[in-house]
Amino acid sequence: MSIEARLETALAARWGTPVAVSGLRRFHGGAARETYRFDATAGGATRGLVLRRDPSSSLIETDRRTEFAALAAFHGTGVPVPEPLILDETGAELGAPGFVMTEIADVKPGGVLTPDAYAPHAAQVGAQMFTILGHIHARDPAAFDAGAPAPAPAACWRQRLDHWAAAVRADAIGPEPIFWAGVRWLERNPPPPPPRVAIVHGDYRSGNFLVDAAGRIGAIVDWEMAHLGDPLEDLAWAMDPLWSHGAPGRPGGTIDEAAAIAHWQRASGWPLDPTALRWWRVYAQVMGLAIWISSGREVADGRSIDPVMIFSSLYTYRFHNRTLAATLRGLAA
Amino acid sequence: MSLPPDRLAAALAMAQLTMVAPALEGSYAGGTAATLGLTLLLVAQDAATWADRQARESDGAAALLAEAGAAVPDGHDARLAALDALLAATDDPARVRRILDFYVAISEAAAVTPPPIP
Repeated sequence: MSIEARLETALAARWGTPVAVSGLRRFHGGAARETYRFDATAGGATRGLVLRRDPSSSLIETDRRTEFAALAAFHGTGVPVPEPLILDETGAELGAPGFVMTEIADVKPGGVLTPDAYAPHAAQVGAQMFTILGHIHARDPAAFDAGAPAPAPAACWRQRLDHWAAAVRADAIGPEPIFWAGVRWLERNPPPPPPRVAIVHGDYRSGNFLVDAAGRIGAIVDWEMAHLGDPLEDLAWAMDPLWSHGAPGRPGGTIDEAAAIAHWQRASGWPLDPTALRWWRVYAQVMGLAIWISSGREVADGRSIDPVMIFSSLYTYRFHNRTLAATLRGLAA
Repeated sequence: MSLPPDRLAAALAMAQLTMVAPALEGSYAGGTAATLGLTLLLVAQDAATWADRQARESDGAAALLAEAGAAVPDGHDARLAALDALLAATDDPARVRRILDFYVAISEAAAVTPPPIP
């Protein structure tokens, strides 16, 4: 059955009326999911919608229910997200596990290899980026059905680090001495716990929000790694140099880090412990390496020929290997 | 004599970026073609120095292991794994710094740089 026919059947069952699907087009990128936009016409009205479903191989092993639940937790709040419409956990309706959500029109992501991707609105975009992140962290964690019990605040770091260490133990195709040196530093220097847990986006950074021509952020996307944890995980990942468009110290190539943190603090009401943030910034590089190592394994085993996975296993892997080595050397000085 | 791998990869990258990707612009296939072309450019950079870097990494690891009085196994990967074990076990700050200096050097040598995408 074609994807269009599957969508027509699934939407008609939800809306109780015949639906015609047209204009199906796949987006490039986003190796965690196959992403398509399409028009759905029912009762004379047409809506732009988006289908996200699992590819045969993925950059990140995730549960599509998590992303759907995260969208549900924020839809209708001040955090701009598409409205989640249909969740298919088994793939019986959509052909592969996935979900359907509304399309946010006339917005696009900034290319992460594009210098000044948000010019001439960089300052405006940066302020929104970190204000919205603060709003995410200010949200009551009970609004998000994470599918697992919330960790105790003091356990957040260990849970996340164990997750990525296990991934690298399973996926590394050779020695990863810089990754393991990073893990050891993190284990020997645990961070102070957050006052409580928050909803963590898990991949909040330039490229995972969509901006219109006037520099307004219209949607925060790619919630597949959302979980409950320490909000500094998101702040550190958003400020990682990999996402700075060649301008280290300016997250997303937008505003400087001090301004970014100030926007986040104003919007979130969270305290900022510099010791904790330092830990999470080292963690961000370890997490990045783990993701890129796992993507390399997918390619090496022939499970993926997605060019984003191939690119990640080369460029971004080398990037974080280099920055983590330099960071650890600085900490040992 | 045929072209070496780095020159071949660079030529393939240029063909992909100037012939294939523009013809498919705006589509999923076009984005895929552009990413493949970009990645081939990086592969070309990498191929030009791969063998030399592997040898230097192996020799450098062997020197650090020998300096610490540790066994020096054969092979690049085995030596890097042994160096990792040495770093995990040592509490000598000077040795830690020397090993991390080595990691910085090999990771900087292995860096690949994509061209800016307008």
